[in-house]
Parts: sequence; structure tokens; C-alpha cells
Amino acid sequence: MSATALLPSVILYTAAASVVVFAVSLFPSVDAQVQSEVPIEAGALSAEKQAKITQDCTRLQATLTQLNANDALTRVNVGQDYEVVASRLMAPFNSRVALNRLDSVQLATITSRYETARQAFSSRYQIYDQSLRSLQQIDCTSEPAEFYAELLTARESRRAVNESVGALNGLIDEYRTAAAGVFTQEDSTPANAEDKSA
Amino acid sequence: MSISTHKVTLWLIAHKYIVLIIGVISLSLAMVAVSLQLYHASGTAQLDLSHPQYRSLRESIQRDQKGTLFSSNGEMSQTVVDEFLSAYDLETLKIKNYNAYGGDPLSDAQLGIE
Repeated sequence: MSATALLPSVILYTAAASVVVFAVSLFPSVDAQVQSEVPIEAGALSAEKQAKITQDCTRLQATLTQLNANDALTRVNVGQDYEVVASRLMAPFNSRVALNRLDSVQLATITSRYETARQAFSSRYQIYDQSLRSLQQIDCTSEPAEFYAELLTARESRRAVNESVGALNGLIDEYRTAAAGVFTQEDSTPANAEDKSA
Repeated sequence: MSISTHKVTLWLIAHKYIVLIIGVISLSLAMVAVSLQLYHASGTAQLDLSHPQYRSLRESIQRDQKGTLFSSNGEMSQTVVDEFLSAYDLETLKIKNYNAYGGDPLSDAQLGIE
């Protein structure tokens, strides 16, 4: 077969492959689909609960939509504040402490842990967001059991996000304590002790 | 130039508009696919409130909240530390006041499906 005859096929296959890649990309990333590491509690769906879900489906969907919107807004605002604390306060303070030859190891360690916690918060929120979106897509009138199972997943994912927030707030407090005691730490550093003895 | 190459060239010239259109569409689809993958994988999708369902919330976004920039240069004294701590407290208080993702709005009781 000549190259001339092959060319239209090649172009068509390329176009088809692009369409397939495009269609696949419309789905969320695999990372986002990874479910929460927290095991789902065993929650049996009673007939009564199933009936409530079916009856209140519209109200439940409206509540979830509102929750999704509020949580998304919190994610944006809190994320921005976490970023401000890291880049405009912690990092410059660490530099200034180091430039003044004071002990900045503890501050740097806490900052590093803070950055790790921030990444964990981001990825956990991604998982939660995906879970909540999946939940909203389930028709609770016809599939109450599936809806409840996904609800349990979303619930645990949200708890994981809250844990990340708690961890970040803990590190914020820890950093404050370390920053407040920066001169106390300096007194105990070996370099400073040598200076004093000299 | 070989005969087959010549034939390909002639075919391309004869169908240049079709080749151009298919090529452009394929390329743009591939680029959009890569962009969407990055959009979802990087977490940007979670920070994007431009979707229609977030219209009512857009005004609540804190725009350009840059906060206080602590200077990384200069001497260190207890006064400087105190200044830093007051700026730090001001910024972190906002975060703590959010009580982000607290409570359990997805519990059976909150959803009214107990």
C-alpha cells in the first residue's frame, strides 16, 4: 500500500485518538477519584431511612448543592489565608532570624511541616470535593442505597479535611510559640554559648 | 524525490483544506485534553468559582487579601518579635474564626434522614 493511500487513514486515526483523549479528559483525574483513606463506617441502610431519602431527595440535593458552594468558598478564602501566613509572615521571619545569626532551625522545621500539611489539606479537599460531586450526581429517588453509601464516603472525606485544618491550626500555634521564644532558643545555641564564653 | 513522496505531496496539495481542518481540530482537541487534565489534577478546579452555581458566592471571595508582609531584613529585637507576633495573630485569627469544615453537616441528623 502506498503512503498516499495511508495518509487519510493516519489523519482519521489521529482525529479519533484526539476525540478519545478529549472525552477521557472530561472526567476528573484519577488522583481526585481516589477515595478517602479513612475506612467507611458500617452503616446499614434501614427501610425507614431509605424511604426518607427517597421522599426528601429534592431537599437533600438542594442542601448538598448549598454545602458544596459554601465549602468551595471556604476553600478559596482559607487557602488564601494559609498562603499569606506561609509566604508573607513565616518565610520572611525565618530569613530575618537566620540573617541575625539566631537559631532558626525549629522555625524552619515547623514551616516545612506547615507546607506539608497545606499540601495534605489541598489533596484531601480535592478528594472530598470529588466525593460530594459524585454524591450530587446520584439519583437518590431511584438509588437511595448508592446515595447513602456515597454519603458515608463524603462524610469521612469531610472529616479528613477538618483534621487537616486542625493540624494546620496546631502548627500555626506551634510556630507562634517558637517565634515568641526565639531569643530563649538563641541563648541555648552552641554558637552563642561560645560567643558568651569568649 | 521518490515517486511515493511525490504522490503524497500531490495528495496533500489536492486536499490541503481538509488536511488543514482535520489537523487543526485534532491539535486543538489534544491541547484542550491536556489542559483539562492539568486543571483537574492540579487542584485548580477546586479553586475555580467561575461556575454558574457559585455566582451568588463570588462577592464573598476575599480578593487581593495580601496581608502584612514582614520584612526579611533588619535587626532582631524583642520589639521586632512583638511586632511580628501582633501581625501574625491578626492574620491567623481570621483562619481560626472560619472554623473551616467543622461540624457535621453531612450527618444523618443534620440532613434529616435519621
